[in-house]
Amino acid sequence: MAEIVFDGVNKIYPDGTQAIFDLSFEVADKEFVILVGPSGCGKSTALRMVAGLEEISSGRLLIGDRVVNDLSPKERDIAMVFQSYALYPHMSVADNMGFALKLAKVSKEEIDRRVRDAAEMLGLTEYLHRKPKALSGGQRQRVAMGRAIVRSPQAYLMDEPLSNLDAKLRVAMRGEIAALQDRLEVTTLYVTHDQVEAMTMGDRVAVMKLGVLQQVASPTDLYERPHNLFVAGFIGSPAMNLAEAEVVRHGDGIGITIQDGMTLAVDPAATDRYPKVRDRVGQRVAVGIRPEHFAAPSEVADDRVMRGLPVALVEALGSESLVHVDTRTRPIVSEDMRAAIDDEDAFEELKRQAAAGGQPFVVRYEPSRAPRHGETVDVGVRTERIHFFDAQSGLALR
Amino acid sequence: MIGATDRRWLIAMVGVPTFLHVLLVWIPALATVGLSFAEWNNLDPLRDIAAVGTENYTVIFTVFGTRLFPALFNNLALVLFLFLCTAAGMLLAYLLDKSVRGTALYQSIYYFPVVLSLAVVGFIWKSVMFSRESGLLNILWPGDPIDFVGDQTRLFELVLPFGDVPVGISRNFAALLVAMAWRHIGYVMVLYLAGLKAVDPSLKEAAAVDGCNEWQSFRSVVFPTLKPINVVVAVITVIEALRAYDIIAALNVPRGTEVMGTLVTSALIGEGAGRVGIGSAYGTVLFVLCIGFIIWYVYNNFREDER
Repeated sequence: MAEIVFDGVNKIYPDGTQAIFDLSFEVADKEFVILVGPSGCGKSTALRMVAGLEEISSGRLLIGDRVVNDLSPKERDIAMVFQSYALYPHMSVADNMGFALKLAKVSKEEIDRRVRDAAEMLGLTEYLHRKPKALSGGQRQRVAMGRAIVRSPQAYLMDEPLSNLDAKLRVAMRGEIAALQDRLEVTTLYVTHDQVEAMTMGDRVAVMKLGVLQQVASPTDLYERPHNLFVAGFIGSPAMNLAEAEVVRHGDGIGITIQDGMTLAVDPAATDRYPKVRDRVGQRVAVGIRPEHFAAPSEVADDRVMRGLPVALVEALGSESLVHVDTRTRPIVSEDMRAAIDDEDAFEELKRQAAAGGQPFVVRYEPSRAPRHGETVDVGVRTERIHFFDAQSGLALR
Repeated sequence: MIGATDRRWLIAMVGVPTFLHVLLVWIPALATVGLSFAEWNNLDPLRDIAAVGTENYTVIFTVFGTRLFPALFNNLALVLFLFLCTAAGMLLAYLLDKSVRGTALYQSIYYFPVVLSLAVVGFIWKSVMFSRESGLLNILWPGDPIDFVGDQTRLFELVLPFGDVPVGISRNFAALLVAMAWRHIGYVMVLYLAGLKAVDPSLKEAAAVDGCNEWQSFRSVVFPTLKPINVVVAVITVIEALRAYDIIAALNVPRGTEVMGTLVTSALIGEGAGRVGIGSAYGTVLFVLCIGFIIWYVYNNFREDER
């Protein structure tokens, strides 16, 4: 058992491109940390540097209290679960799981015992003699987990281990892996691009963008106190509604003109959380409202209601309805948003909306109260939950 | 469902090649087996073909044992030697796959001999490398010129427990092995290079994380996953060694380098030839060796797969 420490780690490829910039964070002993970010953010590279599969250009990497920069994967005593599982196709399940122990010259009886224990834990006992190709996707995934478990290493490294499973199985395995990690108490670094996995599985989440660490925090913290626009846009599904708005004086406090002729009063609770907003009167900032932070007009004060919004689309999910309403708010078009959306077509659409001067907001409704397509609705905003960011730097105005 | 027109096309597409294959490959092959039990001088009319039972086999294993056993021994030596070349080709492929700088260049250089027919390879080595007067090796060699192609003294000699015929590798056959290696290594290298490219790189990474060193990773993970290619390469290697003929014919050495392939032709063509029955018997022995090996090897591999 050991902690993993990144200390100013950089990764620069021979052609000069830099994949990781000055990465510093720590995975504590027995902690489960998720490394999340859009494609190309360097998360897998960071994980592979821990495994010893990728060279560290500069900085220090520690496992336990050893600097492991120049150690081979073998000497680092870590186990890794690969995205493709990387099961040895010519070996049976038992041989796959016991291979590392065999190399470590552990006795046959001991290998057999540990493989059986792990197989039992994972429900693989009856498949031990099979070859990987005779297993289903979910079973292969378990074997890959089993291969890591039997070793009792210093740390587990998992590289998108669930991305090859279908949706239902992924949800089930999500819970299993989290429970397993909790039980085995082995330091774990888990890479994923799926922010739902990030939010549901780990003790803490490290968010990366283009090789730069954005924020390391507990899932709740990340959700409620995003450090910048990128984290705000990336974490949460459906995503936070983000728009450019002008900060204005409103009564005793401040308000935001979120679209022409529509000013919302900002609750003091929000300005307490984002005190720097008070200095931005007369300036344009980025504001964020999560889909669940809307309310019926009757539940909020009159000056906190967005009125006359046409319903463009209703997604009835059973437990909730996600209603897309057209607004004339200005979308934020920046590199942060490009990275957070992580889809060139969707980003082009956002740019088009920005040029046209409007974008849809996603509002969460109770299914029974959801409007229908084509109706026009008034939507109350719980302005105490609004988030504020600098429009240029993207930093939270805290 | 297959329509009537499709069915006709299908029959034609499958039938014509099958017909040609049977006509041009299997009928001559079986006819050869048949002729090995007969006597004929291939000039007389077909009706003069006379059945002689197993007499031809008795002759080649006793009277002609002085030819047959050394030839078989040379073929066997070729099999073993080409497997060494196969290992060398695999090693080259493994090194090139590690993306050495200039991989494409090395690849082309090593592969170049493969595009040449073995007869051409024979001519090249005979005139450019081995020639007594102007060959590269003799120019570089400081001592007396060496007759690579003509020297039939044996490097070693064994006496078989049966037939009472000494067998061994002659010097000119050893030179010929070098020429064959030149081509075979490149061939095997390209096959393995293609195979290695198809190996999931994360398998090697998993092996490294599991604690393999380079050799363990190759032996326990990479090599077994190359199994389909190993099967193909093993078959190719054995067949190449057993059917060797053209390179030896091109070197045109009277003695020392006989293999089964040259025994067949020498029984049919040239001085003292016209013994179709004897030639066919040589051919049939070779045929049985080849087909026997293939059936045994492929059967074993498939059976293992099903387990």
